[in-house]
Order: sequence, then C-alpha cells, then structure tokens
Amino acid sequence: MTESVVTDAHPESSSRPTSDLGRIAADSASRRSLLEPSTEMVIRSEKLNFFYDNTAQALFDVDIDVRRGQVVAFIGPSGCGKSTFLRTLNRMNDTIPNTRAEGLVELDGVDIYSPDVDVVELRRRVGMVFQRPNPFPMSIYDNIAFGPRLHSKMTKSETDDLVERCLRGAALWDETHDRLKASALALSGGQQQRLCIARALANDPEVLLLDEPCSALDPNSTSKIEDLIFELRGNYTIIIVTHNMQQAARVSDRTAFFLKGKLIEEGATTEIFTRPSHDETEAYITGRFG
Amino acid sequence: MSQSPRDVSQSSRDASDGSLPPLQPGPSIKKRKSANKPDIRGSIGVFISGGALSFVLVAALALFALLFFRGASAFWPRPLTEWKMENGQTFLVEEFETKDDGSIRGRIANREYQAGRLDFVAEKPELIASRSRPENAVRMERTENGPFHGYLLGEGPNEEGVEGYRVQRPNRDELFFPRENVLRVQYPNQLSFFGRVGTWFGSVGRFIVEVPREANTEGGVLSPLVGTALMVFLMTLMVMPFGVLAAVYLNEYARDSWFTRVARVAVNNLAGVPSIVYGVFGLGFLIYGLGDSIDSLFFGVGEGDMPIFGNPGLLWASVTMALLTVPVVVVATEEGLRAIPREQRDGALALGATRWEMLSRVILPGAKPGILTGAILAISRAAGEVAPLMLTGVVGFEPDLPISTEAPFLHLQERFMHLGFHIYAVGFQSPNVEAAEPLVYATASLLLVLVISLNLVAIRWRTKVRRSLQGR
Repeated sequence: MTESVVTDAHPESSSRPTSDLGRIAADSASRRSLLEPSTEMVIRSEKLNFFYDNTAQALFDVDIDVRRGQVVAFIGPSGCGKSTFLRTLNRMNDTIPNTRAEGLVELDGVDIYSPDVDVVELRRRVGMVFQRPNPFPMSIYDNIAFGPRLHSKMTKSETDDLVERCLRGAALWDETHDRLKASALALSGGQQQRLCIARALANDPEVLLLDEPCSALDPNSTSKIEDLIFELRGNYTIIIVTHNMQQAARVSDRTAFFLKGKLIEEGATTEIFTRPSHDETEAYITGRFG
Repeated sequence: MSQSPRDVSQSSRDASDGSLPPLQPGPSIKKRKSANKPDIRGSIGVFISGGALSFVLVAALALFALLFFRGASAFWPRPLTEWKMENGQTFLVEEFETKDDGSIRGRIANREYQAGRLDFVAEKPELIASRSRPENAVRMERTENGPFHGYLLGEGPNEEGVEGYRVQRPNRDELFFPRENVLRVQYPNQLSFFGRVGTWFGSVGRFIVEVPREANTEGGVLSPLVGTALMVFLMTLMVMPFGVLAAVYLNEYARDSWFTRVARVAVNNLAGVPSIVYGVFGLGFLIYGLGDSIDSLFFGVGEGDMPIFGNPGLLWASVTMALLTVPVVVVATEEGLRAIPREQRDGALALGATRWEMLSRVILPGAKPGILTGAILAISRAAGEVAPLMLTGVVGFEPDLPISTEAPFLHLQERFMHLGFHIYAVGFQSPNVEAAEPLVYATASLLLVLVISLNLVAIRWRTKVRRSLQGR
C-alpha cells in the first residue's frame, strides 16, 4: 500500500514501453500524495463467482480489497467482467433475470448478499453512475432530490440546501443555479453526466461506482469529470471502470486488471503502469492486445 | 497487398495469387447524354405516389365540404314564396332546389292540414300561376306538427288578454295557436343579409343546446351530444387505469414466457374483433348476466318486475366500449413504456428506488406521451362507434338527459342517445325523411367536428408533454 513515486528519471521505467502511462500515473500520484490513505476496508470480495443465465460464468474467484477514500480503476478488454463485477457491488445485477452470484462481497464487513440485507439501503450507500448519462425526464432540481425523497421526508429548505450542495459538489452549480426548474434533458452530455454524479452524491453514499462515465463524452467534458473525481477523492471511495488507460493512470490510486472474468493483478497505479508483475497486464497496457 | 506501384497498370487477371486487385478509378461520374432528357422511369414513381396522395386528400376534402355545406345550409333562413297554383290552391313555400325534371322542391309546412301529412312538395313551374314574396309571411316553430307557414293576425300574445297567436293559412280559415305551442316566430322575407346570418348563428346554437323533438325531425341534438360525452367520459375513466396497469404488467413485471406472449397476441387480436361482437357480449354477459344479478342482489327485483340494471343503459354501454378500446390503450402504453431507455430504469434502481417507485416516479411519467396516444385513440374510437351501443343502451329517441340536478345526478341505468346512432335514427328511422335529411348532415358535421377537435386537443397536449419531457 505504498504510494511509491516513480519519476521519469528512473532508468528502468523510462526504458520500458509503459513509460508514458507510468509518467502520467506518477505525476498525478505526486499531485495528490498529500492525502494519507486510510487502511480501513470498505469493500472486500472473496472468491466471487458470477453467472449469467445460471450457466455462463462471467467472474471467476475474484478477490479484492478496497480501502476507504481511494480511487480504484478497473481496466481490461471488453467483456472481461469488470462492469459485471462493479454491478455486483451494489447488486444491480439482481435486476437481470437468471443471474447468480456466489462467494462473498462485504460492505463495511457486512455480506451484502446475505438475505437480511436491505437492497434499497445498500444502493443508497453505494451510488452508481452509468456509461450513458441517464438524467430522468424531470427538472434538474427534481433529479437531484429524487434519491433523498425516496428515503426520507424533507422540507423545502432542506431540499434546497441539499440540491445546492450536491450541484456545487459536482461542479455544476455555476452552470445551472439559474435554471434549476428546467428539464435536465436540456443539459449537454457532459453536464448531464455531472448531474448524474450530483444525483448519486445526494444520497450521501460511501462508495461511488462509475461505469465508464466518460465513454460517451467529449475530451473537454471528460477532463471536467476527471477533475471532479479528483475533488471527490478522500470523501468518497470511488471505483471507476474505464477503457481509457490514461484516465486510469490520471485519476486512480490503485488499478485492477481484469481478463476473461479473472482479476489478474491489483496494485498501486504507479506500480501497475510501470512494473506490472504479469505478462498479460503488460501486454494489455502496452497495447499489444485488447 | 504487396504489389508494387507498377502493377497498378495491370488488370485484375493476375490477382490470382490471392492479393486484392489494384486500386483503379471507377467509371466516369459525368452525366450521360440521355440523362438530360426527362427521367421517365423516375417520374412514374412520383406520379403514382403523388397521385394517390392527391386522391386521398381530394376525397377527404370532398367529404368534409359536402357534410359541412349540407349541414350548414340546413340552418339558413330561406325566404317564403307564395305559390298561387293553376288549380286555385295557395301555398307559402320555403323553396329548396330545382330538380332535374324542372320541378321546384319546397316545404309547405302546416303538416296537420296536408293530405297524407306530407309537408314537402315538388311542382312543375307551369302548374304555378304566380310566385310572390309577401313581406308579412311568417314562419312559426311549434312544439308539434313541424313549422307553420302563414300570416299573423293582430299582435299575437302581446295583445291584451290574448293567450296565443291568431294566424291565417294562405287563403284559408283563421286559426288559433296557444302561446305554449309556439316556440318562435320569424318573418323570413323581412330579413336583411346580416339578419339572416344572425338567424343562422341562432339556429346553429339552438341545434346544439336544444333536445330533439317530434321523433328527431325538429329540435336540436343536446341529448345525443350529452349522451356521447358522458359515455366517452365514463369509458375513459374505466379504460385508462385498466389499460395502463395491464400494459405495465405485461411490459414491466411479466417475464418473457409463453403466457405473456399469448396474452400480448390476445390483446392485439382483441383490437380486431368486430365491434358488434362486443355489443353481443355486453348484452349477453353484462346486462343479462351481471345486471340481472345486481338487480336481484341489491334491488330485490324478482321475476316479472321491471329490471333496473338488467336493462341496456349508460353504464353497460360505457363498460362495453371500455372493453372494446382496452387493446388500443394497452398497445399504445406498452409502446410508450418500451421507449424508456434501460439506463433510466437502472438509474432509478441504483438510487435505491424500489420497483414500484421506479415505475411510478420515472417510468410512467416518461411514458405519458404513449399513454396519451392511447387515450386519444380510445376516445376517437368510442365517440364514433355505433354498433355495440345499439345493443347496450343507446336508443333512437330519448330526449331526457341521463344527468339531472337531483341525486344521484348521474343515472347510470338509463338509456341514452348517441350522436353516431342519431345520424342513423334521423336518416333512416324518421317518419318525415325530408324534414330530417338536413339534420343528418348537420349531426354528421357536428360529430366530425367533435372527434377532430378532441383529437387536436389531445395531440397538442401530447406534444406539450413530449416537449417538456425532452426539455425543449
């Protein structure tokens, strides 16, 4: 769990083909090394297997530990199971018929697949943002207030405060404060995605799952989302699935590489992008396949 | 792929080594000479499809124009012409058109005094000795026997102590009509053009707000209008919740199994069942089955007593129409539900919404345009449908409205009138076909206006909802 800062001057890393990503990872790691990561475990999975249609196995014995306040990136080629794994963490896979999860997933030490777990409360504490921005067809204000209104009665002024706080938290307040009652669908794609993050934050979650949040966005919006992830780091545990390895290198503290439903390697981002311990990882991040 | 640039000049015959033929410029894209001539083959498609469209447009326009013109002219106050016949008779005639054989068709009114009680005539011009338009000719609308054409003697009921109208038929004896038998007195030969226009608007207004009289040959269409509106309203109240909930179950809860597939096919096929079959079902099951049971259970109606709900009436007609339109609502609602992207469902669930919260707060509001489409289709269908209603509660003549100011205000068990059936009843079941004919066109125009305006309102509403959902 050491955030070893690898510089360009490092003779080994600079000579390797991963040097670009390694430099990005090192740069961003040095920018935020002020934050002392917690050692407290938030999410832990053990021997997690997952099946679609009750037979097609999508995940094989996935073991992972996620510590509080960290940003963890899941990378891997398409169909490697990273999104499936992400969706087991808030039991979103339950909504797909004929699926089955075996093994252990813990949130703060509680098995989330145990029968006495309230899925509604689980999903309140583990927020999720999807690949395509999915604001509801209602006003910006109502979108933010949607989650909290489900879980508690709120007065008008409480809701107003919450909406402002969440929009500020998602760096969207300046753009939207004068049109909170306008439809959320009138926003641009990037704004919509930040709105979805704000909407997830309104539930006051511990963990934020981001499923390729930038894949439908232009570079400018992408960099705003990345800045936002940077802002949120420390206050929330963030797990981000991404196809963009520069993005993983820029935003994450730790990176996990998935291949064919297996977790191949997990470690500090700077390590993964400079000295991967598996050949498959190296082959993937240097672009030799995937 | 490994061919050198020199090989480009070679033809593809030596591409047998598996490599791709070399890149070559394609055929010239310049116009051929013949292309400057009109392209007949291309134009034929335009002609045929455009012709079909114009035919449809012309047919629709002709339909509207005919209905509206014939309907509107029914209320135009025509002048009265005094015919002195060669045989010495005298008539005051409201002249209509000249027929192909040269005879003039007109209404002589005063039905109770005419041979065979026919108040319409068609005479050859040579049999008419003279035609004139006396200024003081009067047309009276009466509560019975249709209008009266003649002359008013004295001041009518304005005179001291006179409780009615002293009138005279042309060249005949004096008559007396009590005040309560006379609805309106008009001097059509004294009217200016604007006076006629004013009278026309008055007649159109009365047509809408008056109940039918004299076996539908006189009066207005208030009863069928109110009956249609009530039936459609009750039907909408019943069909919308059921149709929407059924669609929600089919689309949101039911897994894809043989049962849901059969259910969906069945619902779609229900839309194709001939409407009279629904009428038979309404009569056989709802009225004789359900209605009779309600009567014997709650009202103590025994054998030989007058049934209350065991009779055709407003309630059963509405229920039958609701059954008839439920497939339309289900299909349109399902369409609307299917249009909601999966991401929005996931988004709501991921925020901790239960399935019902997701449905009621995100999915159903988002499916509003589809639901409204279903409502539009159902309402238009119900407003125009006649066949099942004939068996389940609509009658040809029932001027009393099924609503009243006394409790229970809405009389669900009563028979009622309906605009669609009214057209048929007036046109083909009237004792006085010639007097009723203009009313057929007028009623048909009104039904058309009603259905079109209902549609327009609903479509505008749907567009507004759709806009607000899309944030424009």
